[in-house]
Amino acid sequence: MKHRIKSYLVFTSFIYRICMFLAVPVIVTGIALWSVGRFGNAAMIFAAVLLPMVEIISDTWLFGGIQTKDMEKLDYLKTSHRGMEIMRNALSMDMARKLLTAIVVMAVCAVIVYWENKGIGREIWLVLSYAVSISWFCSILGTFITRYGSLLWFHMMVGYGMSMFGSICWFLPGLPGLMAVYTVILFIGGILVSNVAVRVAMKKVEGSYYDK
Amino acid sequence: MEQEKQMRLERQENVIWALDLTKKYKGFTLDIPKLRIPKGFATALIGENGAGKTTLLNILAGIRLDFKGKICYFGEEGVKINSNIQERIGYTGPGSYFLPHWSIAQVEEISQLLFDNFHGDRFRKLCCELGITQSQVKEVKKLSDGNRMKLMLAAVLARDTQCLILDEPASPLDPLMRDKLCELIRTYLEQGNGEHSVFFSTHNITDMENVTDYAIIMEQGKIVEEGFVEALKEKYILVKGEAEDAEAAKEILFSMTKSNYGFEGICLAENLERLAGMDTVQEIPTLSQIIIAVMKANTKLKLE
Repeated sequence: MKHRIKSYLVFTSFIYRICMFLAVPVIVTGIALWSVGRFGNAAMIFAAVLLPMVEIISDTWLFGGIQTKDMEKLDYLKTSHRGMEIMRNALSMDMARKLLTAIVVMAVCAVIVYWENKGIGREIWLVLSYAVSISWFCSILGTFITRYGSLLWFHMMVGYGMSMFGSICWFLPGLPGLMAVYTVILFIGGILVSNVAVRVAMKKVEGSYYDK
Repeated sequence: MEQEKQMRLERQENVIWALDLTKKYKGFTLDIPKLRIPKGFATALIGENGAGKTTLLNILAGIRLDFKGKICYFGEEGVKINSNIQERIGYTGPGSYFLPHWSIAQVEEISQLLFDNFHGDRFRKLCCELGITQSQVKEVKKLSDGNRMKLMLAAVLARDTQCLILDEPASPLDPLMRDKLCELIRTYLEQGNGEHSVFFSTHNITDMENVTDYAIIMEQGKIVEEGFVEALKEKYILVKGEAEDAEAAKEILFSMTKSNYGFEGICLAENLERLAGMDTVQEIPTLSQIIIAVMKANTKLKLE
């Protein structure tokens, strides 16, 4: 696991680490804290749709354009027998890190919401799980789509679109009763999309050995 | 049996030895029946743009696998490049080598993960020596072409390798750094006691001549000439003569430059007797003069 984490970290710049591991979680929870007094439980929705947007846009500086036709050839990685393994680890760990960030940020937001509005009671666990699943699924799906382009505006458009999609998820038919079902569906969807994202990116990187 | 013995001997004398290398593109075919990169020497690969130099170097470095043929590294028999071979080869290339957003510090971090034989302290020392320590957080994309090349060189020289494959290392460097590059190559070869080899492509043969032991000239995907520099200087002769003999000499010379006062050109030493009767002076040509003559004789470009 240590090796996998290291593989991921070498792809992240110092500024990316500061932003994504510290600043973004603090800012998103700060927004939740600010909005909970004004909009009540909707603060969870804000946080759950804001986080994917930031994750999708920030991927420009990590693996942006990796699935494009004119992707970077990564020659230095290819000169080592460990290059492809490191790349695969980094891509997988990025998906796992996005889940971890969603859990931590949403958990802090849930504590804030619970603190302000104790009426939410035991349901807070269900709402938390649902918020995490929406946030992660939107991040993963948006990231997968944006890796087909490297331009910032494309990442921003997809980020905005996924935020819209995330917002709609809070108004799905029969949601209060079916929240657990939707949560499971979104988690399974997230796992599937993250697997596809890693496979597609690796296929592209490995294909560069053969001009594909 | 005798042929097999000869082949084994050739494999052992050469750091890289290849047979029947072919790679086809639309409108271009790399076709090399036999390739020899002698062990313990610096070999220059020279050819015009699009001759197939980068394709050949990429194949040898193992970053292009869609080719046909057989390659043997370090005297070992094998068709595919493996982890052991990759650890012993250092490659630098143009274009997308590092990820553009990597910083110098990240290059060090990732090199340590990628290669067992990478030394961080040596890398930092080389960065310092080559003048690329402005900022460890500076991104690769913000470095000039020359500094990016220096960073690649620092990354490969910080490893304990036995063979360097360098794709146009001199092109983006200033004259001072080209001289430094030659010094680094010489030091690398000396430290290896005959076990280190360097194979580099270049367009700046004049700058790299003093470090070149063996030269391979490529044209349109084929090797048109190769040999140790001293042997090439014996094979070819620089001929200077009177203007009135220019037309007759043209038939024998590879390439010729004419003026009102006389002509100058390169010819094969074996054809020298064909110049008998002409008032000529013969000199030993430089590698650069030989290469230009060979390239002119084989190019498809209309240079007249």
